[in-house]
Amino acid sequence: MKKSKIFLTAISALAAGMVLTATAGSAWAYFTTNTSASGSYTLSLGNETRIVETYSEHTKHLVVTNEGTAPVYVRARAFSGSLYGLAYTGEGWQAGADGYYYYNAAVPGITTAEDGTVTKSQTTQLDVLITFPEEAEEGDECNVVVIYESIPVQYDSDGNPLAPQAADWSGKVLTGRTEGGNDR
Amino acid sequence: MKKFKKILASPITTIAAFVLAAGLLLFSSIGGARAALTYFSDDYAANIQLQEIGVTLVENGAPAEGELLKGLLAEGEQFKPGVSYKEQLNVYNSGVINEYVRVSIHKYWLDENGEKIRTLSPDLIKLNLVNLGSDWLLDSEASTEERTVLYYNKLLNSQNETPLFADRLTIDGSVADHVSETKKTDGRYTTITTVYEYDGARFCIEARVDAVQEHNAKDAVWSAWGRRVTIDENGVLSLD
Amino acid sequence: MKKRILTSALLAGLLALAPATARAETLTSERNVTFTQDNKLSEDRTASDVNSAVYDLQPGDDITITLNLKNDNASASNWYMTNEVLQSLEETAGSGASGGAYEYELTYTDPAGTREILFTSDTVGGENNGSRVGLKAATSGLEDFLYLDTLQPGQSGAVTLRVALDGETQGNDYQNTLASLQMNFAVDTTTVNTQTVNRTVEGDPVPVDDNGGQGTDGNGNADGSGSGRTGIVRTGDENDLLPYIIAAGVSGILFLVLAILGVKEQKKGKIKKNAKALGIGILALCLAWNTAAPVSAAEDYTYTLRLFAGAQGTIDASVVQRLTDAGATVDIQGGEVCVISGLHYGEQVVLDIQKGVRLDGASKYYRKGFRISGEDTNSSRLANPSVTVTGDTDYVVAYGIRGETVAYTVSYRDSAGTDLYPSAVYYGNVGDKPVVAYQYIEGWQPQAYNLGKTLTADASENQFTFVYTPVPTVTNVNTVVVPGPQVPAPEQGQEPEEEPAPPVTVVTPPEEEEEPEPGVVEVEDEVPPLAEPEDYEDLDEEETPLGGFGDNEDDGSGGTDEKNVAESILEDLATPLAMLPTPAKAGILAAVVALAGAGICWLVMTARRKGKKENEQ
Repeated sequence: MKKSKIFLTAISALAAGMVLTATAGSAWAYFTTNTSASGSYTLSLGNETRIVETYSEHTKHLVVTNEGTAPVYVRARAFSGSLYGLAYTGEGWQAGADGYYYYNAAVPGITTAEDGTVTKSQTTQLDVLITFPEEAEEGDECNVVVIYESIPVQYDSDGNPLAPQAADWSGKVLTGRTEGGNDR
Repeated sequence: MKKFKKILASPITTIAAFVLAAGLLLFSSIGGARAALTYFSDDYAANIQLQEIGVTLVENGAPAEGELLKGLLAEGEQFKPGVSYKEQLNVYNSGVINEYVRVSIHKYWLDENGEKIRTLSPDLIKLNLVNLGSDWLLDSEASTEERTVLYYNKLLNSQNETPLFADRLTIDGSVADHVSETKKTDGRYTTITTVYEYDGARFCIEARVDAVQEHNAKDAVWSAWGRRVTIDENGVLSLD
Repeated sequence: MKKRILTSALLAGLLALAPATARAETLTSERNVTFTQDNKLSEDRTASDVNSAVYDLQPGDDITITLNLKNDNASASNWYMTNEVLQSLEETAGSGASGGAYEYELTYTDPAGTREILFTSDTVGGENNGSRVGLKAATSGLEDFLYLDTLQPGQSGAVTLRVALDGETQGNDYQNTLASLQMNFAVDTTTVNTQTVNRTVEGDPVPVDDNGGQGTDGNGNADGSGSGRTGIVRTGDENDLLPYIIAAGVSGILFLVLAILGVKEQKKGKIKKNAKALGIGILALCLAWNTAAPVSAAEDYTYTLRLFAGAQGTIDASVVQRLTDAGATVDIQGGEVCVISGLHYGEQVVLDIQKGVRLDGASKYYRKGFRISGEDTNSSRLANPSVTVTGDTDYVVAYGIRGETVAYTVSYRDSAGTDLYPSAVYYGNVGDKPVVAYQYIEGWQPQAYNLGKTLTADASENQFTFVYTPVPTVTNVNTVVVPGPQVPAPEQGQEPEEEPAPPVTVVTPPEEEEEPEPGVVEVEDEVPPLAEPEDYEDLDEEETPLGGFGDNEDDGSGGTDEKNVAESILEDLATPLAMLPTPAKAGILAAVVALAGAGICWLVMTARRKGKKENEQ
């Protein structure tokens, strides 16, 4: 056995070249192939809106500024005691059936131009004229609270923006948690 | 003599010598066994040829080439939740042999660092699957929250394409429902900050197509994909 | 004749035991060869069938070519044939195909209908590093005219060749490849069957090789004393060749002497160069590996990992060596798939297919590792056995056909070399690059979770050693040392199926084997935390020649080392040798005799030269 082994080895040198260059078979099974592709987009939903409210001549003047990056819809409503009458005027504001006044266009977010100029967009002014009862006297205080809400612009499935009144305003309260108080 | 030794010592020389020695010795011993036969036939040759397999994912009529959702948005346009975007996906057999195919779709959310956000629901990434049952079979065993696996139930011939398996992509508008709000009043200014859980999250869709050879497809699927399938005499594939 | 039938029956029996291949697509082709009245071997080929029928096959397919031989001549005729593989699939230009196996069977059916096997093997090719590539290994003994039968006028016989492509081992590398087979026939009518054909048939004609498969040479035995059908025709014209044969024999002996001298020179220390070249070659095979950093888990949805056994084995729960996620569940479904669900992102699963996947009893395959389901050759390698969960993933066990099996040892030691856990011995092919996973040892951390290394023929070099470092804790005196018996060094070439179950007691870790307790955090100020282990470490890349490749010729061990290297190289070649047909073996025998003579000559010459030198002095 030993002898034959030695001489087997002699002939086996025939294959020496093979051994030196031998590669491990990458034995995968059958013919298969695959291809893959992926794609992604970042959602931009966050918004920060600011309302500036001034008061003069029995009128509250409201302007809402969008300081976020995503466009938003804005609606506002004032609450007062039954003694006081409220009259809304403002270009671009429309009364909704729910008592809110809707700004009839989306308020775009902050844009930064190529030269670095930052542009904020805001609504036109909504004036709320407070009518005092006839018996009111000089110095009487009235308590009129204006609330406003903003939501990201919503679209139909074809990508057309919905009218602000047609948008779903309920979403925010569905699962949202509120911090810092939300006293609407 | 030294030089000779050096040459002698080189492995190549040794191997060459062995090869020559073995060859010559073999010839000397068995070379005599050549026959002197009278009548010879021509050569009976048979060639075995193995062809190529290939597969391409097609998005909106064009090869996807690694990237999906290309050209979905115009320059500067933002992706809008609730909007149903056209995302027609199917598979093309770009190889020479016929094949069986399956598609695995992965949907998930990534943060700004590219890490998966597992607290956001892949369900809100809605890829509308079509032709289910008729052409594409849903592998419910393989499907998870993130992953959907579809098998094309017919043989896909070379240079042919399957019907669509998806046609539209929507990010559910309810992403805006996951929100928190802070209100700050400072004199005559009131600032409301709304924080959306999904804001800044990147949704990701990954489609992977696997193809396997036509011949012995049942075994090939089993060996290469692990899955047990049945293929009837008409070549129709069903999941076991 | 009785013996012949017996042989056929034995072979048929063995074939019946072989794994079924009935699932394959089968192509058939039939042609006729007739020895005509006017002494011609005529064919019935049509124009489209000329010479080069092309069969489109896919892995797993098989083709059966039948040639009907008929004697229409007035006299009895002796029939001979050759069968040669002109090109194997692996030899296609530009193709990287290798490692695929074939089934090859050549049979002759005589006029009485008795089927006789000229050659059969279901493991032609595979991962053998033989000198004959792929299919060519099948026909080494068939390339010279071999006697088939004597056909009386009007009698018919048939030669049937069946070639099957093994689907499990022929993958994408085999795309766009071409193989070419050829058969030739010859007839003589000189006399009734020549007596020179040795028709002795061995009682046990199909040697079962070490790996449990049938030997590729269905006829031969080493001393060449007898074999039936591959007996080569010896007829008249040998005399013409005699001078050449003698010349060849003499030259051969001379070259052998040269080669032996060369080996002697090399033994003086040069061999290590050769070995290094081999090392570099193997290094070149190394693949690039990706590592993925584990990410801490959060409250989130979970993932599923599935490991399919594939077509060649069954799986059980012991395949899960370690699972860090206490909430995950393991479910074995019908022995076909292991489903681990409820896995959290970033958790770790260690899979051990050597332990948890069983092959069918007579399987010709071995467990290679596992890969991602559907991955093809271009895009993948074997997956790391230690998996960090980042998504839903499916894996399938990968199998290969055994070539040169060699043992490799996985050890788990501390930096002082003390075993912390019993070593495990596995088997793989020379040239394979297995990836092994660490063992979780409480209080210790390995340098990497996975180690990969290319196997060499020398089992002593196939060491995968995890070096553990203690994880700093307050009470680090009580580091856990799991004692266990030493695994004896395996014998090379040992049959893997017979391997003793390694004395590794691996269990799904109980509670206490969870990640270090919170207590560890407290000492972070005092003891710097250990760096996270690498996901994968390629031992080939850091390899500096060990033991047998050492430069220390004079330390006394050098000689042994060289011997090991030489032996290992030679043993690399032993397997293909076993496949050589009888004539070749006869040649080898002749060479043996010649070499013995040469050796004696050389010894005499050396002695004389030495004597001469001494005289001169």
